[in-house]
Amino acid sequence: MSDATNTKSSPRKYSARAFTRAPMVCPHCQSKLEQPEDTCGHCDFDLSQCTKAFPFVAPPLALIIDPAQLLPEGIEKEIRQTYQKVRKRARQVELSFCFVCLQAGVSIEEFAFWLHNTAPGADKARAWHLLVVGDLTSGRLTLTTGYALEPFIKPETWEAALQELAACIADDQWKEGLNGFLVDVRVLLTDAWQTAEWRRQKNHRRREAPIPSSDQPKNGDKAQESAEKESPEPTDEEDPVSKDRGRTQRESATSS
Amino acid sequence: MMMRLLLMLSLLAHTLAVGQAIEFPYPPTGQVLDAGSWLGDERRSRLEGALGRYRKSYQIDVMVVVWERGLPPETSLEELAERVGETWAREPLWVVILHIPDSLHRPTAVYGGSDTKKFQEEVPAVALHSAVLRGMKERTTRAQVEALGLEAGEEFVFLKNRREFEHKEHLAHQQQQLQGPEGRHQSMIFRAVIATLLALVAVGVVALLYLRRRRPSDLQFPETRWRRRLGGKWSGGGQFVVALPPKIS
Repeated sequence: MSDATNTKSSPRKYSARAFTRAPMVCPHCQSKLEQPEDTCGHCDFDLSQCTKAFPFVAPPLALIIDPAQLLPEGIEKEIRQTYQKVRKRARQVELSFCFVCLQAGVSIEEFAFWLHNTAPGADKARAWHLLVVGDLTSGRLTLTTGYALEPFIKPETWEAALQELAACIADDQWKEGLNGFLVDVRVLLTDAWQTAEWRRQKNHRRREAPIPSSDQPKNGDKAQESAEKESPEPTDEEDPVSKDRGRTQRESATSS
Repeated sequence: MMMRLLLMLSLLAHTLAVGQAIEFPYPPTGQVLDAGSWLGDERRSRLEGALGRYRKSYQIDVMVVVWERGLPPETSLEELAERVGETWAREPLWVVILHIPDSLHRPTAVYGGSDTKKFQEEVPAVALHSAVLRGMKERTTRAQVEALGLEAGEEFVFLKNRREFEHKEHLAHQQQQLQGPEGRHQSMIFRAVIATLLALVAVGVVALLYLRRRRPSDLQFPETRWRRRLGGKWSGGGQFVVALPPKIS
């Protein structure tokens, strides 16, 4: 493990594909989007449709968003300390839990998409926001991340953490569930950062390696673009972090 | 044969007659036997006080005897004093100062008792000799008798104290010698335990510092080009959904 204290990342902007191969999915029809498009190629879904579907003002993204008073009183106070630990670990990332009872048939994915994008008080930090939305009507939970954080989220591990939260909520163990999830988040973000650093450094080493003269482009800007295009795509073999570390690391983090 | 027997009987009878000639008075209640008040009341009371203190505090029975019954024939003053001491002594260490007034004998001092065996052979004799040397410097016989009693008492008190002190020292030394190896062993164990504890604490502190340094904080993810889509300015929507498990009733 490299020295993880006070690490400053490179000012350079990387391609999202340098860190993730997770597909982009339409919140409405769940079809994969090959390219970032303004509307879904399959169902023409976009944010404006969502806005029509939810014709009210979205609440600001606080740690706990509970307009229907579904959560026990004082829950925010009980998870605040764990949340602060997450924030201390990764100050870029903010987190919100929203629990609602949507009308039957309303898609939770669309609601999360709408809330993340239209909640007031948005600035650049919103792209690092991690939003967990729970619909107690349909009994479903979803995790939405901003564009900046999206490339570092490994769906399978995060889904496991979300399932644990769902299990606790089903047992009305709100405090345990939310605290446990926050611990998971801390561990998963650390893993994600380690993976990202590893890939970034590997990318740098490749870039610093001598390029054959025949391949050298003439224009500097073009060189950077080609480097971006040639940036290593992550594979499961390259991932230095074990896939199943979530639970064990959560336990160790809890004890620490 | 008969003559010999008669001679032996006559000798034995003489010895018996000599033995019967020593008539012992009743022992004194205090330390001084002076029926005729030869010493004088003041001197006698001084002697009673001092010698009584020696006896009470140090278990040394110093008796001053003014013998007015005459010296039995063929008996020396020392022998008489010894017999007096052996007969009257109430403590395991005793000294008798004996004087026969109106005689040509000088006052005599003898010591005895079972405690004398505890001293080295010549030590009590030397002590008594020095007491006699000092006591006999007095001018008058009465003063000499008084001084002998006091000096002898002081000498034997000193002797006894010194012996006890030496005994204690010897015991302490012996105890030290006996407990020495065990004590040193215990001390070594104690030191080893302390050293181990300190080492463990040091290791713990180092481990804590190391873990603290290793614990990542303020992680900065690299900036990426955002994959803006579907008109969303900040997010492209959720990537996965999980269902709440059915409630266990």
